[in-house]
Amino acid sequence: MTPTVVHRWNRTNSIVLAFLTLHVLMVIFPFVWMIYSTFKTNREFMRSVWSFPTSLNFDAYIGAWSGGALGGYAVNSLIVMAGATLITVLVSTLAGYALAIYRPRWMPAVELSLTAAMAIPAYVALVPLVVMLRGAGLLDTHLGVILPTAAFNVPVSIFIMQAFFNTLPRELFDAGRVDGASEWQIFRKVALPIARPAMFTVAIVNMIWVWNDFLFPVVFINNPARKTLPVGLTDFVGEHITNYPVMLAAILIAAIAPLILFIYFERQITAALIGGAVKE
Amino acid sequence: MKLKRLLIAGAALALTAFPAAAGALSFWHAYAGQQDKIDFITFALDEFARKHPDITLDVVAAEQSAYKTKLNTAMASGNPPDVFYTLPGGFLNAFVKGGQMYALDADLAKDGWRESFLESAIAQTMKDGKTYAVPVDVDSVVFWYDKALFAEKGWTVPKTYDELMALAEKAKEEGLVPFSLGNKDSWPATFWFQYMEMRLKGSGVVASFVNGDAGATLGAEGEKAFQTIAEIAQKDYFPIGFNGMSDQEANMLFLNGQAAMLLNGTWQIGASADAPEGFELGYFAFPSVSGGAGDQSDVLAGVAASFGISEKAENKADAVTLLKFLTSPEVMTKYVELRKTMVTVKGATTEAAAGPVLYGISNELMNAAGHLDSFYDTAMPPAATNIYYTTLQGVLDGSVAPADGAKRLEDALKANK
Repeated sequence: MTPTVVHRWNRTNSIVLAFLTLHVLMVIFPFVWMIYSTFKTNREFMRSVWSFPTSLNFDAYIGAWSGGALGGYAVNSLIVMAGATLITVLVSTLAGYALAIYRPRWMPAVELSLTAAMAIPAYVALVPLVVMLRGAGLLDTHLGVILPTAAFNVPVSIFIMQAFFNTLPRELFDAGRVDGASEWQIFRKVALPIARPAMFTVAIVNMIWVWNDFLFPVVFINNPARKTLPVGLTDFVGEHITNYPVMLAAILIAAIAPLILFIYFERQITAALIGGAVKE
Repeated sequence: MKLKRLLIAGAALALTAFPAAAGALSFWHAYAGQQDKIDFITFALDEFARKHPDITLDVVAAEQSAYKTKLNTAMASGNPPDVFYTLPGGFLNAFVKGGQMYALDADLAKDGWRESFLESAIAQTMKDGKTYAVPVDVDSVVFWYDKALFAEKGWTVPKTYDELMALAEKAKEEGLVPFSLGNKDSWPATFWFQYMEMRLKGSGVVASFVNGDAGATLGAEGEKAFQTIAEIAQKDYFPIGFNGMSDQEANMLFLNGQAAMLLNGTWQIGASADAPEGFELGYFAFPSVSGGAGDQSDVLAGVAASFGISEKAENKADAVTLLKFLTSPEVMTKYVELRKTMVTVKGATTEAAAGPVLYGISNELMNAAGHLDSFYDTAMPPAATNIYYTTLQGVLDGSVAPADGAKRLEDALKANK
């Protein structure tokens, strides 16, 4: 039994509670609005944006599902997200470790080049990337989106990993060397297990970036069957006319996959974000 | 192990992607995102496949704003599609300057193809005497209002600018937003500036800059036009936060009766299809401005979209066949019927297909117009368009003085970049 703490109900508490309630309402309202708006017709929506639906109709969901091939887009998004995240985590863990542990004289030059790479806006790189991808036969393929995406996300990820490895005491690795472990064994057996939370942080940040990325998929992918979700969702947004309930239903459907992922990994995500670097 | 398997699976998936079959004609268009556009292109492509089973098309579609990025990148990387949708004016001219557009004049000369287009329309896809694209549709800008609302309030349609301002004041007193405007994407407010400039100085101002006329100028009227619309903004005749509101959000204010009027393009007809019961869409011309030097009957109207062929296209004959089909009266009339938009092909905007509102605009307003002045923002080169947009936003929110705004725009137009 945990000891019960008696809270005295005072004025400060009520004020805090009132603000929290207000905050929660403000955060939740857009979602609630989105959900009930999907049951309206576009005509009802045009009459009043805030009103409740007069009847429960699922036409918006039917329209979103049949018109948009959302399932296929979600699969494409997952492929691109998994591919780009795997590559980024792999490269940034190895490189971050090397940058933190081995310090030859030219290492600052490497860091500088990484920083310089981060300063290049993706927009500027579009045309050269298209030329390169076409040369490699990767234009209009998932791999053609995965590789440039990973390349753009790797520098930041390396710095996150490097910063993490920098916090570890050197004695940890020296002890391994004294015991006669090879450099690879030290990395594999000592550094890697400790680095898990940091790797998870990098993975999650990358997953979010890649999942939401619009520019690379829209430019590199032509075949409608290979579109990712953010590009696919533009199927529902018109230049001058938009059927809002259908668009909102499509967004809700599209949000299901990340929601499931989040629920599944919730513990690890929270742990990673708190950054529990200490191995138990 | 698991990781390795995943990587292999990823590579295998990527390899299943092979380029389009050789011999296929690549066709890029922006008819996506809204139902009437999709209905049109589905009809056109199905018909084309039926009539020309020997020509295989490799079709790529993207929504308007994404499409521009996509096409620009493809053109810049030397990988243009064979046949493609393009905006006329500055957007098209950039490709023409790069030598990437195929001149259609020889093909247009055959079988009366050129004569099938309205002259004023095909002039907008020409550069230095050559035609680089065929125009598809024409949008024109008018004031829109709800007839039912006006009847209920006992308001009449204004004929002069002073009457318009008096009506705006009345609407404001009734607690309505006089003019709905969602200027987030910067183009919606351009109609206000352009109409004022057309009324005060006359049509063809920006066209003369683009053609490189030595005497091209906005004149003192440019400052006056900026001044006038800044005053409208100061009087709170536009919605609160209009510079951050989208055109579609502004449309919602208009449709649900919170705003009295809207200065917008003919796409408003399609956008009003889902208006609440009782709403009855009406239009009136931009009113006359007393003392204005321009022809007061002029209408802001321009080619909205066109189709071109890239110089690199291997099979030009098939590409021309596709363009001829798309601009045939049969397909164009269907375009009018499905999209409620005027087209550039003579006689295709029929009363039956257009419906009363659009036919009225096409047949009465535009036929009676002294001149049709095409959209400033699409006519000018891309760099100038950006300056035009930011200047206009600044003038409307009060951060740019009208005199500075006019000077800035004039300089940008003179640079002609």
